[in-house]
Amino acid sequence: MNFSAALGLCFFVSLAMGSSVANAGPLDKPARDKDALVIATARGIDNLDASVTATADSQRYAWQIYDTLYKFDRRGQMQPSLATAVEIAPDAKTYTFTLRKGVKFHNGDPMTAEDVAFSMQRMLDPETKSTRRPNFATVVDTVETPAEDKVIFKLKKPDGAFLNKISAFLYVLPKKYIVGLGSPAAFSASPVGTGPYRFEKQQIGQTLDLVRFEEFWGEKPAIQRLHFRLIPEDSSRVNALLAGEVDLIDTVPPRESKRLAATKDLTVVHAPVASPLHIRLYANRPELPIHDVRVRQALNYAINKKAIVDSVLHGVGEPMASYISKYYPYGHDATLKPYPYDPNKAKQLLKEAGYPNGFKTSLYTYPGMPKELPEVLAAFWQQVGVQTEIKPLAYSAWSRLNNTHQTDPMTVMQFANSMYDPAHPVNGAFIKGGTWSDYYNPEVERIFAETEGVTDLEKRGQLFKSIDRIIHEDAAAVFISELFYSFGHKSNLEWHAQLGDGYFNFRTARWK
Amino acid sequence: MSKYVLMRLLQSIVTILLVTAIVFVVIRVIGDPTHLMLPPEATAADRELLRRTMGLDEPLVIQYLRFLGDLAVGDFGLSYRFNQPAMSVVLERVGHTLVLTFTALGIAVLIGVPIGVMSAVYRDSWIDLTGKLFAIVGQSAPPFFFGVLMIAFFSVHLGWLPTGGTGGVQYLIMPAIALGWYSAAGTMRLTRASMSEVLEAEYIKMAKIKGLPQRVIIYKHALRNACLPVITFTALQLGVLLGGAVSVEAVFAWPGLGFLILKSIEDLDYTIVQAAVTLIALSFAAINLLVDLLYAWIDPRIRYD
Repeated sequence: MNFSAALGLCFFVSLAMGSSVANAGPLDKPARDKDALVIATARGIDNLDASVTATADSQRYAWQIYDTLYKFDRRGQMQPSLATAVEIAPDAKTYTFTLRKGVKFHNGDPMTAEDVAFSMQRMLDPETKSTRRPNFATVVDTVETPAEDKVIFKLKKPDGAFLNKISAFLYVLPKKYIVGLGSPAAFSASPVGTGPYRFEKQQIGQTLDLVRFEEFWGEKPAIQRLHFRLIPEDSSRVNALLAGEVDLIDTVPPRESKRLAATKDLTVVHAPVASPLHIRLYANRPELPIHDVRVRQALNYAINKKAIVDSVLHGVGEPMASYISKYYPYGHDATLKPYPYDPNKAKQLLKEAGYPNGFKTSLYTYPGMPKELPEVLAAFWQQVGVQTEIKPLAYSAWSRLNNTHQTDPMTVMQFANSMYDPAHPVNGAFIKGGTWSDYYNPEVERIFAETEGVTDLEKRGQLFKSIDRIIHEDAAAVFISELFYSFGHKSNLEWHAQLGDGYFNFRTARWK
Repeated sequence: MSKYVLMRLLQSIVTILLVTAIVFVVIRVIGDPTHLMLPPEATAADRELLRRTMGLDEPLVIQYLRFLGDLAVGDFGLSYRFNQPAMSVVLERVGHTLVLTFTALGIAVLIGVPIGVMSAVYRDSWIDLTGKLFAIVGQSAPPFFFGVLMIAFFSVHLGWLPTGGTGGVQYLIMPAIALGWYSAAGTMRLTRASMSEVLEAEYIKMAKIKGLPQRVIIYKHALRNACLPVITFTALQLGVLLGGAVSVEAVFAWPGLGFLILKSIEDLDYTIVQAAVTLIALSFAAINLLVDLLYAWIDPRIRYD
């Protein structure tokens, strides 16, 4: 009896393990029906007020419920949306939008210039506690509404990336409805926008149900209902897809992506988020060895980026040469090649810099990063004599130190950008005063200052390309890889992941 | 007796105040939520402005007194993360947590006690050995692990049960077993040990000599005496289960309190943590009081006056 119980357990375990191959789930059918899409996410949807909550939250639902004046297409090119046209003054200080006519909010109210102006003012009001406020507070001077379909933004200073900011962050909200509600919390509990889906119900932080808005101004989505549910545990999320219970999952763990891709009727998609995985270097600290450009270059030469992508990232990555992602519409210098793996060159550079025997240093990391990454980096640097102590911190502790220039001398990091213009990462990481910048280069400062008044995207691209090159040559960071979001979905779902930022777009999803 | 109850009530109130004060301070020492909320464009002035709007710029003592004042009228503030009243978010989860915890506790008692009794009565027989195996497996494998295995087998392979979420009874079965097995194992071992000891006692021998049927001896005389430590243990298990539920909640995407608290600590959502901890402290104070009164009722030797 004793023995057979143990045998039974073994049988149970082996069957469970074998289930990856022999799977009974109906994967060629939608989880509910062809009118519904069931999406399982690794993070819950917290606050439905998209102009208050941060990207990490709003990116899953905002584009379903809300619209902006201009929007990004799949590759980040700006297209008219609630506005049909924009006129930008040559001094880049006045932006005049012509609004689309006949747009309705989910509650039936018509969308007018008043609503647009209100949406901006609401974001600027500190009481709203909008995480977007810093993007606009220093820039926007006044918002004027000379006609029902005209909105003029007057800026305090030229901002060449203002249209990007508008496209990324200014969700147009119904003024009358919100003023009537009274409290910001009431809007989060019952949000109203102009987007193709309207809010139906929510189990806070756990599930969200959206229904198609039949009076949507644009092309109506093919799928009637979207159901989001939180499945935080990686293996459970994968199992929910394998069981056919959900149609699409995000954050496929890298070690599972090959297995899912090999499963009949399932598809795995790796979508670039244009977030450079890199090591932030406190280069402007004269007392540190990394103050010397040769040392920074040596740290770049000493690591095998291809091997890191293949092993640590399970092949889901692309070695980077510099900081501006190739998945932005402009600004990336495609002629740059990643630093090759050359430990001898690294040793020689260290010797020239006065560190023939290397030096001791440390590297911060946090749980959002692959655990093996700092270990592998330390092992590569060890080969050229650099001894690295790894300092893991909880995310909240790490972010506090990282935001206040205390993760010195080095930390693992990524830098997402939801407005597709390189101004965001360049400003944050390499311009004096940037929250994550510990690097100072007068040439970069000069070119960056020049971009501020430039609205012509081609010209902006040229300027950022030259910054990209300088940052590469100066080894302003240790550049590792492009990051990707991995999704798994049923193959008969036709869906295209957004490229170059992390936003989810289900407007054009359909069942085959 | 009523004086005793009053004393215990006062003690409970002091405990609750202490617990909330400690949590209030500790969560603020861990970090500052504005660092998680603002983009890198934010300047120090932006951050200070947000801190002021959130009332985080004032001295800790003032913040705590304000918290107590709001607490008196049942206001726990808005959750930063959800932008909803913190207590209503917490209360939405409590029901799910209680259902899961008590089902698991029920499994622990209904399985653990009978197996423990049988093991004690038939010591060293095959029944005892099977019981021990059950206990060892239950105590050595974490609930998390069972959860993952069960999902792979019953949901993905057989398609019998949903992988997670909430709804009917079918959603409750696997998480409750995953969570309850561990406690069932402990309950079984304690019942077995306690029963074995009682079965050796003189009065049991006396009962046997008197020729009472075995059923009466075991359930009326032995188990009643052996169950005191088991009751204490079960009450304590409630705490363990609430804590252990975190991993099970994550695996089965069960919308419980444990996972909410864990995430809220990670995200420094002060108000949720405060609301949840206050509620839990209240519940535990109440449970402790009840258990003490239950003791007095079961064991006539315990008197409090």
